[in-house]
Amino acid sequence: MNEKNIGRSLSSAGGYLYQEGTVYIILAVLVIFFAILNPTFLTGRNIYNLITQSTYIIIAGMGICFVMISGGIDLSVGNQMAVCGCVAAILMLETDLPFWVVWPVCIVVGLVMGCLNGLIASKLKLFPLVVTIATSEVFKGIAYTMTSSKSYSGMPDGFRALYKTKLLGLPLDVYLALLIVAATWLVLNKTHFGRDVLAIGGNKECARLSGIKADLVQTLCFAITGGIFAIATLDMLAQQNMTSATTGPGTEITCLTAAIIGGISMKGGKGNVVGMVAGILVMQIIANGMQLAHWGTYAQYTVKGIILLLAIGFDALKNRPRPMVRVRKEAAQPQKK
Amino acid sequence: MLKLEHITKTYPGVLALNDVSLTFEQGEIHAILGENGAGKSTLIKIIAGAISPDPGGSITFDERTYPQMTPALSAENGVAVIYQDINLVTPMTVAENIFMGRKMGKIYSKRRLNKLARELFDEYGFQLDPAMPVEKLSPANQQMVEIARAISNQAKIMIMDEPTAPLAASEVELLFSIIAKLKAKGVTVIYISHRMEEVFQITERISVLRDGCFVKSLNTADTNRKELVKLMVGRELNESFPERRGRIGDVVLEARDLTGNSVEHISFQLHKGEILGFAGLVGSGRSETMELLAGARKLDSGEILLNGRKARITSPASAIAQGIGLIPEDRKEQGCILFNTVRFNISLSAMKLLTKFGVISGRKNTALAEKYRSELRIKVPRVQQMVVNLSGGNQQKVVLAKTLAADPDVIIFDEPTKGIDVGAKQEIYNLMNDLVAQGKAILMVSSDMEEILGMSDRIIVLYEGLVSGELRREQFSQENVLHLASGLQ
Repeated sequence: MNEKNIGRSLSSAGGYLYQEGTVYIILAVLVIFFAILNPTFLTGRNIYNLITQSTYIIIAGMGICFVMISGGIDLSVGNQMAVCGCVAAILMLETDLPFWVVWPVCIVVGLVMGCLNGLIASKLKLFPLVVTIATSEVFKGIAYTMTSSKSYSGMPDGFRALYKTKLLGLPLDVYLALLIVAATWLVLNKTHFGRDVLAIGGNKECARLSGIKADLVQTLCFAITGGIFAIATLDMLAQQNMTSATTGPGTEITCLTAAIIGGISMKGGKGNVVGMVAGILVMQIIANGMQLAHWGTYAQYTVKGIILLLAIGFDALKNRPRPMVRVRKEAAQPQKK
Repeated sequence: MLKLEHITKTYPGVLALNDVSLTFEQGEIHAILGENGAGKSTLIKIIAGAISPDPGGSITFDERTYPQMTPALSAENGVAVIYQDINLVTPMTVAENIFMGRKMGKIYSKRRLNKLARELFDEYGFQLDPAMPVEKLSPANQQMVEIARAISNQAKIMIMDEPTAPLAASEVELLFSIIAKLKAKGVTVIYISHRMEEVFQITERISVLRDGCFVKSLNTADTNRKELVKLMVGRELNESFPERRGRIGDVVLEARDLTGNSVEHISFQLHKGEILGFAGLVGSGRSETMELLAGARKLDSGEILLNGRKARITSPASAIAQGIGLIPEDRKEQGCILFNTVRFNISLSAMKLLTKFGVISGRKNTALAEKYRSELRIKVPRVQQMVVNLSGGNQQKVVLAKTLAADPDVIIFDEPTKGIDVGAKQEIYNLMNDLVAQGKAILMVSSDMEEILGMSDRIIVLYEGLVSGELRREQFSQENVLHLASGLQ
């Protein structure tokens, strides 16, 4: 009796891993692989690096969660980061504004850019993919014009304190990232708004007919994505201490890949924040592990691409339509006669 | 020419065609008549090879007999079907579409295609420009392209499914002259239409289907509309409908002159405790009217009064807030989120009850879902189950639960029992009765004749976007409904 129960819970855990857990399996395999390959991988020093380098990507990943779960996609976030970073740098270096003014200004800039994407996509009923490819170019142009292709470095100490100050041995921005992950989880799982986001991602017409203001929710998702990416940019700037119009673009692909590996459906309506974080860790571990193994930075792209293909392939395989009731062959035979 | 013998088609729980035998002669224009769901579309699809009939029947072309068709086989035997939806490559030109998939000469020459198309058009009297991209044509002309393509393929049997639906009066005349030319060339035309006057105008023979059974074939000259209507409906009402218990009260909803979304001047009153049925043929504007009332589409003019006061309905959200709930026609596309849980779906319209300061109470949500699971007897082991895994009837109950959870006063049921089994149907009828007994008011759109006669207190019949009549209980009969639905006075 007891054994039966254990067996059942084991098989249901196996079923869960099979359905939802692709990303955790990949994560575990990668950790074991790199640990065997290079003993320094699992040292405290390296884990510390891995975590501190991942913070801004994790924050950015939370941003992409909103837009993807609502059934959209945002390819302009990389160039949004460039704009936000340049605005922050120019404000601090050329006008000497304190960091506590720069922060809200940048977040508002991010919200406005996201809002623009959302309004165009929802009101004109265009595909977010196309809209954000176009606005991406617009933002890129703005970033280059604003900076005249210069790069900025040497941010004020007050601004960099986010990364430089340590609490319990970890930089402050690690706690900021945790806070944002927790907030995103709460909003998506426990609030009215989060439910609306999942609903429009699952079936926009049904959501609208059920009384959800679908266009508004969609626009808000884009705006929130823009706002969170602004925060990610500020964290990145505090860490790297320099920016230019080319800093930021590329992040959108990392985030999208992480989201897909992490189980957020491209069609929307599905996804969880923990999977997303795991997806980002997969991407970061590949980068970190390959660096340690001296395999060169460029090969990373190839490996990341292959991992993405494997993840998509596995998802497609397990989501193939299956008969609801499996008929055993022996049982089905006699009926035919 | 074409002979169908003992054709039967069963879907799980439904007998779509029951031992139908029909003969079509060469060069005749043969109409197939029947109500919604009589089996006309199924029959066409079987001839075209799109679906296969149950074993036992046979389809004979001249000398060759087949147990079932495939699309390739039916094309080989010269069958062409003009469906209601257009199947063309829209960015390409008229001529390219007509000759698509065929090798025309050694090298591809647009000019040659245009010339050949022009010859074809001159012969049959089409008014089309061969070099025009199809996407620039009106739906009516796109349909003409489909017909031209079928002609150029040397079709011997042309099946037209409601060909005049998108056409204006002058275009109908053109179509009829083309049909006459086809007949002169020995082509058999199988003509499916709801419009009785057209059937009398052009066809020579008429076959009537009813509930999947073949009723009778007659010569058009020997019959009249009255006889046909009788043949189409001559059915025993055998399903039992639950007894109504409540009493009908005051007017709760009044529509005045609603226009927009392809319906015009729709006016009616709905009383408390009443089920008002909306009958009509497919495309007569029933669902479109409901969409206006539920705020799903914009009203051009007219007003909606709720409890005597003018209501401003601008979106589904505002309709729900004012007490109008819609159970949409298409369960899977509009009714529920298939890849989410029963619990999630039931909460969608009732978020106000479940949230405090924007935060959802998971406990209240589960309680709500459990309440409706037991009340509506939704057969699902756990409310965390995905809706996609449920049967049609249970999915419909989830949609019902979602709408009822918002506590509407007026509930719109659009095809409430489409595609669900008999047991679930009875449960839904009982539920509708309980709702009106509680003083709710129901608007019901249905294509099921038994359902609309059995459940309604009054019936409003629509025809081509207009109200063609209203029937009181004592006037209820299949003939009366069908008369009004066919636009006959």
